[in-house]
Amino acid sequence: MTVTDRAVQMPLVLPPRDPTWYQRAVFYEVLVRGFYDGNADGTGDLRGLIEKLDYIEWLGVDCLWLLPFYQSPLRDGGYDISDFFSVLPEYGNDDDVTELIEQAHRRGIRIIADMVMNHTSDQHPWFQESRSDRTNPKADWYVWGDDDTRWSEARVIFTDTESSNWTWDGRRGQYYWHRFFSHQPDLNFDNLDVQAAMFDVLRFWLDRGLDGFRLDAVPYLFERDGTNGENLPETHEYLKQVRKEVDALYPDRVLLAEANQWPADVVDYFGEGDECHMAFHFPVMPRIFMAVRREQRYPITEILAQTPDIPEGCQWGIFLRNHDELTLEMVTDDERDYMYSEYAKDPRMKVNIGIRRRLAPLVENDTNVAELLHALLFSLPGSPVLYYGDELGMGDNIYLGDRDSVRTPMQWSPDRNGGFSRSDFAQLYLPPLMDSVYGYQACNVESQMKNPSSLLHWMRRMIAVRKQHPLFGIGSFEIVHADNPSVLAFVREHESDVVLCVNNLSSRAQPVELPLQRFDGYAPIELLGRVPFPKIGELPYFVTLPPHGFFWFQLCAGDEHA
Amino acid sequence: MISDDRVRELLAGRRWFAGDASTAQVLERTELDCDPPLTDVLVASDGHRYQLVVDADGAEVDDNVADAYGLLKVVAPDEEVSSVRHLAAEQSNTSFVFDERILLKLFRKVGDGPNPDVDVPQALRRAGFGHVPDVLARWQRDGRDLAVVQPFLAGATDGWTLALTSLRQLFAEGTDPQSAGGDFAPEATRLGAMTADMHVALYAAFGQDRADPGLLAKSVANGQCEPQLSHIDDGGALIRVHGDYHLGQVMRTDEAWFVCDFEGEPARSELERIAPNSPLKDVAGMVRSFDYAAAVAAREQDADVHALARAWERYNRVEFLESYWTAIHGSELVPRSHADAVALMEAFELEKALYEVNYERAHRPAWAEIPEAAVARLRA
Repeated sequence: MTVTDRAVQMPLVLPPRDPTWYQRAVFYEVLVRGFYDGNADGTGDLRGLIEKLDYIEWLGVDCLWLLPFYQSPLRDGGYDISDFFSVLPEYGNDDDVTELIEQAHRRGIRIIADMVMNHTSDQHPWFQESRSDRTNPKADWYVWGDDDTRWSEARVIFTDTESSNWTWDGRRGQYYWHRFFSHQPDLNFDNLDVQAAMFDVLRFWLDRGLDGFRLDAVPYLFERDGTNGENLPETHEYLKQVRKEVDALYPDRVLLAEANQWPADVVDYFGEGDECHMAFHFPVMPRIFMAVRREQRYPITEILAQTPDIPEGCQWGIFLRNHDELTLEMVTDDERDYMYSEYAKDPRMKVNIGIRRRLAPLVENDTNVAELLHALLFSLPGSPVLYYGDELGMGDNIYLGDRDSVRTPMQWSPDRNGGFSRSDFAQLYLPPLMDSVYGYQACNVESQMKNPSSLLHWMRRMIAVRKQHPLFGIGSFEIVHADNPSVLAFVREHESDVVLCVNNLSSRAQPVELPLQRFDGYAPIELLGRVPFPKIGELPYFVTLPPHGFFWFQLCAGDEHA
Repeated sequence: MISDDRVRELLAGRRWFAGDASTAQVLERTELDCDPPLTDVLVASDGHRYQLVVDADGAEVDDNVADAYGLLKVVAPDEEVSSVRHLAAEQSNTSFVFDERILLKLFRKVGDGPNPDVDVPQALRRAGFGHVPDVLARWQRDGRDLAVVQPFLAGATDGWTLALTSLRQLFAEGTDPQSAGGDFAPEATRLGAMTADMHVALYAAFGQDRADPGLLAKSVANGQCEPQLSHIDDGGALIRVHGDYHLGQVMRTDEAWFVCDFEGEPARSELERIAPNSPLKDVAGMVRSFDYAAAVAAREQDADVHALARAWERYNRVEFLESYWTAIHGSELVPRSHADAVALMEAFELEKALYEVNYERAHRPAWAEIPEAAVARLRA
């Protein structure tokens, strides 16, 4: 049986055609394990996720991003895949994936999933075959060598656990190459069979209706002498081939690159608009936090000034928090950045090295700050990516260790196990939060849905407003040079639609004069309350903002709304 | 042709004119070929040369902002603009902002040669220092600078205002400066590194002399620090310096810090202003203004926040200096021995504080306690 035969051809429910949907979409990162337990075994699963699609639709999310759900020994959260074509049994089976995609599409929700192309688990049959001897058909599918000093220019990424990018395999009697954990051997992309096999993997899931992939660890696909093995031309060439294939066979799908590098290097992953559709903008997130901490807009304006323009049809993905993305060393690699010194100066940030906490504890559960941060996330250039639970202001459990601290069960109700699972408490993959501030009795979907002034309702309103104005996704972005450095003001514009965003980064009330002479005669209407404000005149426009307050004004030309 | 009497009338009461209008002598009138037609007038009064620009109706450009369009055509003929406004709150010159994009500065007091406020930024840009506004066009006659056109730093805030904002946050929160909101330290760090870069660029642009340590010890702060400085065998370099460097002279924009106003201390003569000096004079000037900012902010408060203000000053001073010492290291512009460099910088600090005491006693006696306290600390 060939690989493609395994793809079950069934009638697909596809979302309406929309080639640039991802430029306007609100993404929601969901941990299948932690979202909802559909079969009462203590672990979240795909059937559970299907049951909760109504909630996701209610919130207004356009696209789910699933962490890896493939067969895996789970030594690296599923990023160590041992079979690309089957589902981890505790999550469900192939049919569950198909139904999830179908049910989501019926609700107008798209789904992208993590895909790891760079390496596999050492349990993968490909690797088991490859290591058996030096002459088997897959002998050259991984990167083998007799010399463990080759490519010493390539840095070791997980310095805590790995001392080298080479590990000795006693069976084959050679070293194998791995950029991450030693149980994750790198595939050899110089082998055309590997390239073709990876195409098959992508096609398999796109045939099932998946709307795209977040491509994990893309900078490292190839190795070349005398280089550090990152961002090589061969890698870009291969990604361009992938894009071409996807565009030809699967319209409206999206490739999202995970390249934790400086924006000037990340833009290469857009190619000329012929490589990845999207890439994460990593530095903008810590800069948003920094700006609020320093009560000044400069950390944000500086990073935006250093962000190059991106090709037509491309989009940044921006986020405040996610499952583990940001560690300090990854961002500070680049000497142009002085962020490290700024973090190190701030004892509160220092405690949370790498910011592996959830949003609410990071801002000391201050709802005004959480709302301001989300207002920025929803209005700065890029598509926002929410992390499950942050819409409630969920907390974390730092005693679970750095990765699991932000992966506790979603809090659905004040019932047993936070409504996450009907299993015994002891069976749960991780205990739910039970403290008096962030615990499920105080903080859960059910009670926030009943309370119109909750963070959850606020989030839903913001998403709704954002979706009414495509300019937040595809409009131009222009900083308004306000006289008050605590205020970040900018104008988003698309065709005749204009929105002015004014954000007070300070914990004090602030006045600001905005040079808006270009919009002389326009009438600002505040978008959340639809309240008309005085018209803009020839003089700078004066606005007063409450502590950590923000306004989104639609600017209406002439007599439109007189 | 505008009459001498009309010129005297126009001069009287101008903020930038310090002389006696009734005895002012018109030195020259120059017709400017522009729309609207303007006349450039140079006037002598009390040993200084002043500049006016008058239109056909006899109005000064100060009073008729539309005349600035004509002036821009003369200084930078290629610039196309559609709006103009007066830049408020300027003492010694008159500036216009066009399209919130470019700035035309008309010098009111015209010296005998090139104006350092044009010369120095231009030379610094050529030496690769980007933290000064570029010179887009300069207007000279007979070797004298009459006006300059530069990019306008939209939305810029001066360092003094930022420092006061940071201090008010600290007083409101009452914690230590590191954990208070609006922490200024990252900015102090950037200022330190930028100051060092500026000195390296000033050296590259204008050259240097080696300082004579003995002379330096005798002259700084009128020799009051000679005992502490007498053992110094390397005094670093004497270079072109900013000369009047403090928080009010640096502007924070959305992208970076910029250094402004290279005219030097207004009270000194033209020759004194461009005389080579130790770069540590600038460093001391900036450090003194941290102390001033802390003291001035504390005076605004009803409660006694003296201890917090001192903590802010010490904290930011350390960050600024550490960053400066790191960036200037190995340049030979400051004494090779770090201890000597610190001692010399503190001597310049005392010099500046003594100058401030005299100034405040004469002009603002209530403020004299600020530099007096600094003098006491520095002597201790």
